[in-house]
Amino acid sequence: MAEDSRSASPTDEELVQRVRKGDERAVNVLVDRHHSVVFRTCAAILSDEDLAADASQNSFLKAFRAIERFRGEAAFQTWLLAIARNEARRLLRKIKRRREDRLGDLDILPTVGNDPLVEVTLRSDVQRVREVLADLPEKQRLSVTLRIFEGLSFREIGESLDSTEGSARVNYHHGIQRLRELLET
Amino acid sequence: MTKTECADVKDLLPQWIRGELGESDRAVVLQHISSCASCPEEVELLRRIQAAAFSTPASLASEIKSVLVAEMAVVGEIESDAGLEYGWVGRFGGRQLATAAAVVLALGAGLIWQRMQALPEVGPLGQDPFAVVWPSDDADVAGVPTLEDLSAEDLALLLEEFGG
Repeated sequence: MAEDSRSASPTDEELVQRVRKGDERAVNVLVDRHHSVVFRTCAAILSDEDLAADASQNSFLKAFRAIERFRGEAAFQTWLLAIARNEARRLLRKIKRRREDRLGDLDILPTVGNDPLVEVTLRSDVQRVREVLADLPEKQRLSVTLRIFEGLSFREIGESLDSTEGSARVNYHHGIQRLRELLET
Repeated sequence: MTKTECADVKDLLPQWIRGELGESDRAVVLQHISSCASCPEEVELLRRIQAAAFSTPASLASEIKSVLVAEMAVVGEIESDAGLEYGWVGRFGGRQLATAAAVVLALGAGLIWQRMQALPEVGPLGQDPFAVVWPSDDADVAGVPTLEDLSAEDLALLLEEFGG
C-alpha cells in the first residue's frame, strides 16, 4: 500500500473533519485517494466497467451525504467500501430484475457461446479470466481483486468485508486455487 | 523448497507484481522464484489476473468530484434560501438540513398562531371567530329572540297577532 507516501499527507479522518466544514479540497483528496479501490470493488461485483463507474459515483455521493454519521469507529476506506459493496449489489439486483423481465418476453434465448470456433475467436484471455473471476463466490472474488488490483493487505480486506484478516487470507488463496483450476481447463 | 517458504513468498507476490515491495522483500522473492518449481506458475497466474482488471476510467475521479461539488452547491443554496448562515459548515450534514427544516416549520406555525390571535374573540354569533370574517346567511337572523326568551305578555301579544 502507499502508506509511506501518505505519511506527510493528512489522514482520512482529518480530511473527513474538513469535509464536514465544507472544505472542497478535502473532498477532492478523498476522491483521488479512494476512487480506484471503490471502482474495483464495484467492478468485482458488477463485472462491467460502465456500471461500476455509475456505482462508484453513487457510492461517493451516498457516503458524503451521510458523512455526519461516520464516527471513525472503522477506517474511512472500510466504511466507504461497505457503502460501495451495497451500492454495487443494489445495482446488480436491479439489472438482474430487468434482464429477467426482458427474457420473460422472449421465446428464443440467445445462443451466444454454442459455437466453439466463434467462442475461441471472440473471447480473449482477458475476457476468459473475467468470466472465471465473476463465477467465484463474492468474498473470494473481492479478496482476489482487492489484493491483486489494489494491493490491499489482508487486514484491510478483512475489515472491508466485515471479516477477519485470517478469513481474507483464506478467501484469497481459495479464490486463486479455484481460478487456477478453472483457467487450466 | 519448503511449503512455509512458498506460502510466505506467495503472500508477497501480489505486491511484487505491482512493484510495491521493499528492497529486502524483493530480493527474497527473486531468489525464491529462481529456484522454485511452483511459484513462477503462480506469478504467471497473477499476471493474467492483473491483466484482466477493469481499468479505472481516467475521467472517473473528476466526474465524481463534479457531482460532489454540485451537491455542495445545491445544499448551500437551500441553506441560503432558508436564511441560514452555515457557510461551508455542515454543507453535507443532514443534521443542519433538519435544523433548517425545523426553523422554517417553527416560523410557519408562529405566523399562523399570530394570525389566529389577531381575530376578534367574540363575534355577533358567539364564539366562532370565522363567522365574523366570512358572514353567512345565519348572520341575517342573528339576535332574533326565541320563543323561550319572550315574556308571557309578549307571547300573548304574538299569539293574538298570528291568530288574527
